[in-house]
Amino acid sequence: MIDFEKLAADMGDLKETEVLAAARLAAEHHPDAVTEVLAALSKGMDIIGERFDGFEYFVGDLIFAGEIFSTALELLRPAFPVAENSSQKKVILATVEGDLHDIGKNIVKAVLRSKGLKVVDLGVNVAPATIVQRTLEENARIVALSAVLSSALEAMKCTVDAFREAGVRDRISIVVGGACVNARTAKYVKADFFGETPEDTAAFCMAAEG
Amino acid sequence: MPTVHILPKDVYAEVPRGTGLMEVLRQVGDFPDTPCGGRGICGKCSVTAEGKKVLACQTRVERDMTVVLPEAQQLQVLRTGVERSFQMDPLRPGPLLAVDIGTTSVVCFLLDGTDGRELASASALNAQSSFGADVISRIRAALSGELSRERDVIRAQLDGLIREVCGKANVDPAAVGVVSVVGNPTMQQLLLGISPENLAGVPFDPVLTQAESVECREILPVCERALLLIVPDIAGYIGADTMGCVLATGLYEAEELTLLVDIGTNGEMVLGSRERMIACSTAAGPALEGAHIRFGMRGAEGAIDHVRRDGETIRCTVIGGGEARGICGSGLIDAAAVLLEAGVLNRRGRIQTTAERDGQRCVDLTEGVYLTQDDIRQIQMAKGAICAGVQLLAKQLDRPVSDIRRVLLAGAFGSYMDPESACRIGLLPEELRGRITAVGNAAGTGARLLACDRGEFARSQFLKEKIEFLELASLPEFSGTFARAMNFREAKQ
Repeated sequence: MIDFEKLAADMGDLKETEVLAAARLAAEHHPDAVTEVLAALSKGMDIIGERFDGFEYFVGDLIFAGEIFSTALELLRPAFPVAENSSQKKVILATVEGDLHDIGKNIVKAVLRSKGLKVVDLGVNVAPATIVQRTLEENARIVALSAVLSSALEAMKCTVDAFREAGVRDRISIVVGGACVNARTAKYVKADFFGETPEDTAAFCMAAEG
Repeated sequence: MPTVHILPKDVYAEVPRGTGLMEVLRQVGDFPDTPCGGRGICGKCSVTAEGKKVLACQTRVERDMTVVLPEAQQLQVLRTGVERSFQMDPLRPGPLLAVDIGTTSVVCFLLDGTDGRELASASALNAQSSFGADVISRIRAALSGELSRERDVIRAQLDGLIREVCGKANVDPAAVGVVSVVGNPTMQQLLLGISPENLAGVPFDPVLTQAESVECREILPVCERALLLIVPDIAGYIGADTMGCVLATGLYEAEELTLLVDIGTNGEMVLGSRERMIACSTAAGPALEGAHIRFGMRGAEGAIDHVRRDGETIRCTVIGGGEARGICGSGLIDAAAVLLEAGVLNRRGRIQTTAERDGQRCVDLTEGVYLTQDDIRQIQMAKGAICAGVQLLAKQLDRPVSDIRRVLLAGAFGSYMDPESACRIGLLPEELRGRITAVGNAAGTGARLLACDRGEFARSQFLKEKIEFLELASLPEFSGTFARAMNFREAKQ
């Protein structure tokens, strides 16, 4: 049997060995409990978010959390229900063209997934046209863009413009984040929201039309 | 099979036809190293074969021959941090200048043309600081129309330093034969007036990839007769200054696995030995130079430079001996180590005491100076980057970190930092405790070697092709390694 309370606490404490052992156990012996396991992991991620806000945890801890969470998801994948839950909201995630940084993006990915959102991660240095194309292909309506280098702000602006040129800007919700982004630059690139923390970005995506 | 008669040793070697002459000489144990790697560039293997001067690396044995080796050259010894022997063989006769253009400080050495000894030196804060303190700002300025101004500013400054250094030794700048320059890729390109757009974006490729010499008067007219040596950059963020460090420390011929680190904003490092060398840039950030720290400052008067624990109290030493008004990099590292040992910091870097100022926890070091929670986080990020760099380089070489037998710290910072504290906080992996030495301004030493010995200049071209570059951010294990390296090891209970 799986102790879900303990799992959530272990996740919150970043106890990698215990969390991954529980994920393996669930995938092999308790596949029907997968949903509850995911909920426990998500609760753990919430605890981590709180501790980050309370200055107990730092960026390094968030990265580590993201990795444990992603690995656990991979271990649980064989036990997922066969049909993808089509009511899951999709978020297209990318680091814009000219920027290779992905640490922040990956943390956001883990947090979004822990909230039950489906994330399509396009990677780094992604051209505006590609982001638009993939968004349309995936039928997604939420786009999250990341950039650390201020030289990539122009690429961010081009990406938002590309959605307008494709005639779909009104249907898409765009949130931006990263070290070079703030409320002012978010306005400059004409995004809908500035996600200062992963939690803020997650809250925006949960509230947006999917 | 033909026979080679080797003089003055007076030995005979019978070898199959077509054997390279260099190989024959190596077999009889009689040859100095080949800086250019046997490409026929440096001229160091010149011998007399059958009365004609030839390059051993370009000659094959076709029939019986007599080969006369040149007299053993007198070796000079440089004793600045690392002992290094070299030959006096500059590309042009006359006094020599060696210049190290750092982002923050510029240093210029005037050397005697016959034995390479230092006659005078001068240094100054890089005048380009008006365009920004760091490389990124200067690149940005160049790309927004300031390139020629930045170029002119550094050239004018070098002109002044050259005159100063020549004046001190009573040498006419017009007599100088060779001027060697080392610097990071941005500094080099700005000096030459080459737009740094290659350094502003992916894939960050260097443009100065060839060891080249140009007439100095085209760049620095004050040395109208001299040859200016342009030393190749290894990668977009690993420059001729790192190349200078590799030359100065002799890393390329080390028998044992050696790590060379320049602890500073860019945190360049090279790991390897004579078999293989890999370099990376860790972008540690300026925290260790005092930036983004509440009371952070450079190593100047009033800076806490060392911190020790004395029972229940913290003892700080201050540069200049007076009252502390801030703390510099070496002080930060010591402080973190002390706080960790005292249990004031936990392994995640959280300050455990609850005293706060301006909404965050802080720890007092002296009456006027304290460290904030943000300061600790900055230290974690910087030390995490550097430690991760070492671990990933070792992984790339498929060796455990503990196999590294020597760690050489280049740069002024390396000379002031306490290696014990550095290992305690995990700035350098703890396995490397006891194997660390400071080698001072190795880049400057490299510049001196390059000016004195054309063989070293040729070697830089060879090394440019030999040293591999590892782009840390592209490794899938980068973020995990970085994250783990940011933590501390808690004090043993």
